[in-house]
Amino acid sequence: MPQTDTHNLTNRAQAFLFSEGGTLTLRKLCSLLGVGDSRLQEALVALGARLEGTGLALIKTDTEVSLAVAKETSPAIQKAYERELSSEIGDAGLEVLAIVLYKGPSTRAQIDYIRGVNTSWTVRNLLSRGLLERTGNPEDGREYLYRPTVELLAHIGVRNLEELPNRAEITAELKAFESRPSEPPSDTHL
Amino acid sequence: MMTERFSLSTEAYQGPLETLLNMIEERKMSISDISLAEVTDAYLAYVEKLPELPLGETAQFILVASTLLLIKSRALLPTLELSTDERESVEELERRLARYALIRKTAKLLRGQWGIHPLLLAHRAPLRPTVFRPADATLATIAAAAVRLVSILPRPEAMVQAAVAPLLALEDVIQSVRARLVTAIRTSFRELTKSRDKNETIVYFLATLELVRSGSASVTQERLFEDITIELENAVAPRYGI
Repeated sequence: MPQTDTHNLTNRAQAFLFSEGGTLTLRKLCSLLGVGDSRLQEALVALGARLEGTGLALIKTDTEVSLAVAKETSPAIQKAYERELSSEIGDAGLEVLAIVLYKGPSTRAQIDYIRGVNTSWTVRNLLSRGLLERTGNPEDGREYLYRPTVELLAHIGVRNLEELPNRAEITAELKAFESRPSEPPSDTHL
Repeated sequence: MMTERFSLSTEAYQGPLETLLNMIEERKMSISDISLAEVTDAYLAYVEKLPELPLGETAQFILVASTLLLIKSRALLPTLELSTDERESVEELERRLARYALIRKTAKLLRGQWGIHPLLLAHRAPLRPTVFRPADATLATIAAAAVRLVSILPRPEAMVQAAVAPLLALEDVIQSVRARLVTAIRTSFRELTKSRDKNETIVYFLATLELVRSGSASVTQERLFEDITIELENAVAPRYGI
């Protein structure tokens, strides 16, 4: 693809994100720009790089993307607005978020099994606070997958999952647990 | 009783894995057969004192208790042979504990940067409700309308001319009427103003009134709206002559 085309696409992606002023799903952005997923990813990588050092940042999950005020500039904005960000969260909530962030999209049953306790109340709370989102599970229509939102990444100050603290090490350890043969099927409810 | 049950089902409470992990960590041990055997009694005592939980949750506590009892029995009776199922459930419990410990550690890591340096999202600017939508208005049509508007405005030059249109000075008219009376002794108002326009007629009328007021002339009018006859009051006064 010629370089000017990508440049053009990046401009348009940035303009759509600015105009939306919030989170756009990757699917929506693809259709707005009239391109496929791979070209969009290319444009978003370019956009992320372009925003470096401009006071803005691009936050991206597997399904959504948004413009945000970058870490370097956010203290000034926060101070100016003196916004009360209700940031209280319990240990149970943080554990559920840790599972979804480091292990990847998970079902309620998987989360319950890892924590050894029913988490329906905690998950509902996280959903209503916009920290998790619920999507259908392509592998099983009867259950939902829970995944991190742009708002969650924004709140912990990371632009994507790769920026999570100790990401490589922890995901590798979690994977090691998965690969053991005695893991029960995902719909085993504890 | 009902309220207790309600509060338990809506709040996150400590499950069996968390209870067990807390007990092992309190003893500063790592997760192993030995540590699990060690905490079995404490765990059983805890389960006995459990408040009323939903049935499913109680079952989880008891399931873990039964696995712990297996571990403890094997520790006490080294000759005890566990079945494959039993061995698997022991391994599974250890594995789950280890993974839960990792998740707990990770959650602490997240706590460390929870809301510390958030990336702020845009507040979505609400769209203002549009009362009037200028559908076909472009910059060009607006500019054309502005030009049209300017072209129908009164010309500033014309206004200046109108403002300075020469009018008869009252003083001069008084002089000329007086001169006329001196030579003609009498005249009529219609005669005086027959070649004058409306504005000038008004000035002549004012001049006549002024002559009457100063006693230089007298006027008579036979009937309303009839012509006015103006006569020199001081016909003998030659100083008003030319």
